[in-house]
Amino acid sequence: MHGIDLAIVCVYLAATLALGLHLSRRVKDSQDLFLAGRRLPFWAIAMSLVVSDIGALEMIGGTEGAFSHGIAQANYEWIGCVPAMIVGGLLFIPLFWKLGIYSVPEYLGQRFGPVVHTIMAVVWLVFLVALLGVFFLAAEKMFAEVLGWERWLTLPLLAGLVGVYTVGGGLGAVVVTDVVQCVVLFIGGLLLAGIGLYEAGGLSGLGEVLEDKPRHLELLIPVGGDTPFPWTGVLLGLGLVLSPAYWLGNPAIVQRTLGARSLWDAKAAMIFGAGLKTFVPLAFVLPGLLGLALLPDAASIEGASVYPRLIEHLLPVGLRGILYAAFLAALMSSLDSYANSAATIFVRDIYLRWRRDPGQDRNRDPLWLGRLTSLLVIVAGAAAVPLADSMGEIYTAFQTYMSFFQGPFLVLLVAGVCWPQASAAGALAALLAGISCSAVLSAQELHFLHVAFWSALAAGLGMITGSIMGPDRGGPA
Amino acid sequence: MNFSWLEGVHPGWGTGLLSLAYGLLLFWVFRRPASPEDAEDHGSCRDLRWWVLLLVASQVLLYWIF
Repeated sequence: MHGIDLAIVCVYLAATLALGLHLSRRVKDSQDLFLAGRRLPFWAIAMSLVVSDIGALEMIGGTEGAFSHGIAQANYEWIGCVPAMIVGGLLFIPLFWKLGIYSVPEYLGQRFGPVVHTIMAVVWLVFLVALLGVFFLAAEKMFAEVLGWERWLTLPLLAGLVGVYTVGGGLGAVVVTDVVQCVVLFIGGLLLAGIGLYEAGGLSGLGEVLEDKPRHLELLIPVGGDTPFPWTGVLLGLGLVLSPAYWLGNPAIVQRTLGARSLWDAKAAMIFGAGLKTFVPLAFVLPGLLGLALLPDAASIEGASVYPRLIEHLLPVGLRGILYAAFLAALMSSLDSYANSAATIFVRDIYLRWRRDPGQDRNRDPLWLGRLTSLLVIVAGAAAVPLADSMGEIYTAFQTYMSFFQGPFLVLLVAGVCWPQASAAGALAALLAGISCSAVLSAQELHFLHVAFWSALAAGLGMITGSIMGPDRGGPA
Repeated sequence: MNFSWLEGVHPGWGTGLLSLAYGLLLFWVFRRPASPEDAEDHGSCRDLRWWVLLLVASQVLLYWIF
């Protein structure tokens, strides 16, 4: 890395740290730490939502997908985000916000009882910490490639940096630094796409290059063949199941809307975030197509190296520093969000449920406990890196197992909000039916988007059967 | 279960049906409040309706183009 680029990255990191430390002064209790004192405006939440979703893996993976399979990769940003964010913002988030909860497992606990509460809290906690390991691993590889740094240097540096403002400033610091990271991310991504499009001769030039790859310009691809994006999977699996499960249920995503300063801000945040999401493919899908047009050895390179190669190929010294800062922004925004959310779940949904004095104010839990847990979560995530690195296939399998929960999890949320008769027995039956269905269909190597759809359907049947025939009757929270 | 029976069916049918379902849902969400309590719950949804419709229109346009 050139000295000027390194200076830009250092300035960005120092500014983020200073901002996070400044915001730490506002934290007085656990509500400040976990929900930013419920003072967040809609625009900050929206930018934080978007940048937390776009991790460093998505920057590389989105470009790789577009390079290999075309514009259909944009489905993950459009049909895979926008409808679910609109429905979530108008129907689900308002209910969660009014209940004054801290996390989605807490809602499921209020609605379906302690067993479901504990199951979902433990599942999400394990998943969030494991994902922290994956994010740290991506950072380590990027630092090793660009700077030649070793793991022993990268991990403590990054964990310390993110840890200082996440532990000190909580969700407020996470969201405000996310706003800065969102700006840096969009500037970097759009800069690369704009320069690349100019070099390719505009849209017409790009179109000429893609003339012999007509499928690369199709958003919805017919069923059959070996495409990873069959339209049935995109609409039914991604659009109806995985996307809503993520935007309505991922604690790291939902938590910041629960910190909104008003009901209107909570709703508007999701709508504004969906608007921002519309532009994300310009920054992280278009470069994949540009790689085909601009990289001289495009036929022989791996998709994962397209984004770094485009940075080297297109940008002069100075501008590269902005892109490296954007990559770090994507990475840090995911790390801080997942760490804060994992700490919230451990403290609120697991530890204090057993330890709290029944008469104690739920918003006055000890601050030191939240901070200590945030720190431990970050350390656990960094400690998981060697595991993620050495057991790559097991880690991939673990993520696959986690995806088994998404369909049933969505059914629990939808039934909990929309069907007063849904009961705890129904919820457990839904989890059992949905997870079993996922396991069986995945073993038959069915496309994962189709698995998600059938699993949600099985969970829905389980919910109905269990609620009608089970021993207890449900009721709204 | 892999929907191979839909091979040859144009994706536009699926997109159209899904859009219709979302459209009906939004129509219900943006309904006029029936009571003051209902207005308190849904008033701010109506405040956002033009932004949502703009967003939906942009999505429809993108999928129509590609």
